Amino acid sequence: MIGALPAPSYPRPYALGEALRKKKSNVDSLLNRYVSDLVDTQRKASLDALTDGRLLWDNVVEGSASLLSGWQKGDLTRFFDNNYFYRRPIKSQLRPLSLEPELKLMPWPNRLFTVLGPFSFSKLSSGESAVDWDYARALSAVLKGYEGWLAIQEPSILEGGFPEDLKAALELFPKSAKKLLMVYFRPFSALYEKLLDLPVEGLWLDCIADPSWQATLKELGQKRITALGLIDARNTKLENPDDVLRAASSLEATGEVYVAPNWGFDIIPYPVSKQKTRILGAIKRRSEVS
Amino acid sequence: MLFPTSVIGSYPKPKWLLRTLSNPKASSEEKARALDDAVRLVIKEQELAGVDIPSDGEMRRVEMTEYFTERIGGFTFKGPVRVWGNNYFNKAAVVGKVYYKSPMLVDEFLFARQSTNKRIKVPITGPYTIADWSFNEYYRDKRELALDLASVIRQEIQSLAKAGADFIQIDEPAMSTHPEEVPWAVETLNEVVKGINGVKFGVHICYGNYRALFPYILEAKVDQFALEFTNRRFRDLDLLKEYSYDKELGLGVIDVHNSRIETVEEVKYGIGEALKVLPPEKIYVNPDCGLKLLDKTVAFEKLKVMVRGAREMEAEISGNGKR
Repeated sequence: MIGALPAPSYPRPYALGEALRKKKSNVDSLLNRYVSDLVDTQRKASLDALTDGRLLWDNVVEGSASLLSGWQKGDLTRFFDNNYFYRRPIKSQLRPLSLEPELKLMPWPNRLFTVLGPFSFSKLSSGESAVDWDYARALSAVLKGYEGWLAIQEPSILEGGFPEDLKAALELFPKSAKKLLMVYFRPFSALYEKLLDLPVEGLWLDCIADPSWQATLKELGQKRITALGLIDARNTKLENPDDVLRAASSLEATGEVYVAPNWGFDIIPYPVSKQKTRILGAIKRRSEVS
Repeated sequence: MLFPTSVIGSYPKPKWLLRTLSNPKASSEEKARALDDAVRLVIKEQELAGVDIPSDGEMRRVEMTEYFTERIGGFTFKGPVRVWGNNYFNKAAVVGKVYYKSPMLVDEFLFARQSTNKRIKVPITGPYTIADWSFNEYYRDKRELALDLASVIRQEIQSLAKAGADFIQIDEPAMSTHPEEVPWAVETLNEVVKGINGVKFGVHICYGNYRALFPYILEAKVDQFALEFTNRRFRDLDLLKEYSYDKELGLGVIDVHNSRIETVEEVKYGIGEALKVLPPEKIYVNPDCGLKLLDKTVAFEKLKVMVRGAREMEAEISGNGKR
């Protein structure tokens, strides 16, 4: 049977963005309303994890950095090849803050939380192709004891120069979490063997960016958990659940397999993100029936 | 004249304009009048700041791709998407073959021209960026879509040229974001300008990987590239020397995402950096990008500083023969 995971982040609805921009007093009520709406959509779709959508995070770079002190916002920078930008964090001395305020927004046992991994943080902040150990240590201190799904986003490792010390850095992340290393925007096949060796419970793979994904997974096997990013988070075109299920089922799975978006739903319209969430649910239901 | 000053295109909309446009009780005549007034105002402000080649501030445009995708056949809208912070645009979805319906910018240009004695720059979003910043639900791939859009944009430019526009800037900020696509993106650019004479063509690109642009942009049949440089602290200017770039440069010397007003010295420093790689007659001076997200007063002050920096540099060079 194939499960289904939500996107690690959802688009901030326009009304909430406007309220934040104008510093209106109804930000909290709007946030609660949209989080309830999102959770309701995920629950009705019977997804295997729940997220609050990280609606207050501007993006995963600054959002992850907001779990720490000792940095400031730098220049506006494009997030990979998207028309979507973040402020490059300029760090001084990173120190852990508390995860409690974030977890209050996600009081469910099967919650899905996400952070940027220590290599991508380095690449997307200072531009250095190396694990940021200050970040890794401070972030792992924030996450200590976290229970639930944890999507560690490491898109930058697909840009070449695989960091051999990433394995050691990921050892710092909490044992209590169900950790998925998430890679996207480029083919992962060339690095897949190295990804299998990383100390995480599973891999979250962008199958849309990698036409060889089926052959690679069949040839090299899978980790205990595999999230197949088959729902395109960068296009409004709606997937046909049967087509996605067929593709996912073609894999002779050796562990838990989930269908998922290939990235956060940050840059599609909010209503479309909900439609795609329902499609994820439809795929899971059809898998149960078949 | 050395270091002519210009803008990239957009200018902050006056609050009264936004109120009028969003007022359900305002008639279409009142809204049209408000737009005309706003264009006159922002052109005047640019003149007061000393800008040599103003634009109409894109007062009539909601956003740089949305304005066009609303008017080109084959697009539909499914809701706003966020670009950064709390800034959104209505990213269109292509659901059919794209086609030209009617002129989109000619009236805008004619009105701007009659509002000033200065040369007007007309910005138009290029086919590659419209393709890249749309959801493709119809075409086999982005290249096929961009080529069809090139034909649409070319028709619009022909209309503008016929109406007398002589400085058209094709905005292609997406071009530097997909290195592997730059070669064919330049082809679409050349399709857009093919056979159109009597027009100075600029191309605006920002916030991406400039190295990916080279050497391909040297093949673009345009006169100028207007590039963001302040935000990147004038990194990448060396590329122009490395590749023997010989077109004009629209040098970005004003950070449009920061409300701190630059100093004249900072503007002069930027021009000085460009002078290390290009002769002075090749350098135009402009902000990094459109000014629309700034407070209007801040935008005005930034333009004044930009012009002062350019004029002081011109005086220094003219006075000394060299700097």
